[in-house]
Amino acid sequence: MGVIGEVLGNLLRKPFTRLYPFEKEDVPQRFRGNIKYFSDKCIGCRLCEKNCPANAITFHKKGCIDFDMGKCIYCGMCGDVCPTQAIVYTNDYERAETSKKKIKPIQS
Amino acid sequence: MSDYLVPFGPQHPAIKEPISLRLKLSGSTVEGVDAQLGYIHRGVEKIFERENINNALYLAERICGICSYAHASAYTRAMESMMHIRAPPRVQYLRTMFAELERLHSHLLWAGFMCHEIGFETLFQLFWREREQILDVFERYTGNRVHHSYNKLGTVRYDIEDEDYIREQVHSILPTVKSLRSEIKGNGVVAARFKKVGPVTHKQAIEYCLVGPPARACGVKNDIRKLDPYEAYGKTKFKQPIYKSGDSYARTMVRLDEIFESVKIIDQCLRDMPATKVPKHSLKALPQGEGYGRVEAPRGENFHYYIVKDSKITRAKIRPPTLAVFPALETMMLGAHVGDVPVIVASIDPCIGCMERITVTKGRRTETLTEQEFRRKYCG
Repeated sequence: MGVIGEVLGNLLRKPFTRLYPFEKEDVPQRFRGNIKYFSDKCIGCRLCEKNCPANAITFHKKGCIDFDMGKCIYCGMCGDVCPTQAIVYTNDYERAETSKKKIKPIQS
Repeated sequence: MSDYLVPFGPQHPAIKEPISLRLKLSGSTVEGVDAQLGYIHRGVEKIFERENINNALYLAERICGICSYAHASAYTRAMESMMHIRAPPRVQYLRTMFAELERLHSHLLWAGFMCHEIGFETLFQLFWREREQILDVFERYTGNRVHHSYNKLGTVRYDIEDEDYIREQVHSILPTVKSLRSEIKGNGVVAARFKKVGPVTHKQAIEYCLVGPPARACGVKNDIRKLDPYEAYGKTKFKQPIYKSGDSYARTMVRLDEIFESVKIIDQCLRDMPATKVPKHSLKALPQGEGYGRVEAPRGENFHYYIVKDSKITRAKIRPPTLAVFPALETMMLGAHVGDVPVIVASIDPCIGCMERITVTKGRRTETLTEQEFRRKYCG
């Protein structure tokens, strides 16, 4: 039987693919998408800057941190070490932009 | 006496990564191969130097896109052996399970790729559709499809909540994979393209120190999970598939059989996992010294060696599986038909990005040097 049975079975199946961008997929809760930064929660401990493997974070002062999202590797270290959850990962995965300046974290 | 010198790559539709092979042909028979590397050398070992050991884990993961968890496992094994720490039992079972899930997705990807090489696009699509089920598991539990960032030194990042989902997803691929395996076994066209293509004998496999599925296809038992059990592999029962013929067909069957063994290991892990908590923080001591770790990546033995001083890496040495298998490529190709070259290259499951080392090209001359020779010659 092999592949013939599989192919005939597919005639009656729903398509496996989706019509992105018209149909969007739900991403799981743990998905590491764009970063969201709450500047009011930040206590200025600089742990995120020290722990970033890609050196994508520059600390200026408490509540003012630059994220270079072009360098970010979405590992989730900054969110993990943050003691006040001032940095969280959102489910936003549509990160393609036409200019480098537009690649930014969500500020709150 | 060769008639033609035909360039194969670095840009070639049959290979997905840049590698240049110069084939010496007599008629359409390959009489010699000259491999030229260095197109995607990234200097990863150098970047490791001066990295903090917590941060270097993410760099280790990014050595390879397909076996990224294997590199992270080898890294954590090396660091944990250096610091003489052992992960708690639940963490060990979790790591074993994710390593096997990665083997599943890597072998399914490779099986599809191998079918694509012989023009069997239907099988290619069907294999890759099943692979998506495994990637969904990864995305749900680790937060990413490819670079999972799941391991941490001494622990893992997340615990799993509903085990039934993993069991369901993993078992859902089995009926299709079984029917696709029987198709590969029984199809005359596949047999004509795979059987007796790129053979390696048992003796040659030992001489070349082959690793992973290419070695097991020649009858060499070299599974690191059996020889040097790490994590929870010592507590699980599984077979290592062995074939004798050593050709592309045997290499295909070894990998397809390993898919079923991996499912067995995942089932055992889910059954035997103790219901304890996963510790949150990993490191307490200031690490110093040297450590090595080897794991059985989907492609074969993966070896990492590090020297650490004041929690910074001062020297890194990585031997990915392809680096060990690559020298045998010439032996496999000698006497082969030129049309079989893509199949032979694909049959070792090459990951060129993993294995690139320093190569100096000057004019038409290419030489491969050690770090000391390179410094003496070009930096002095």
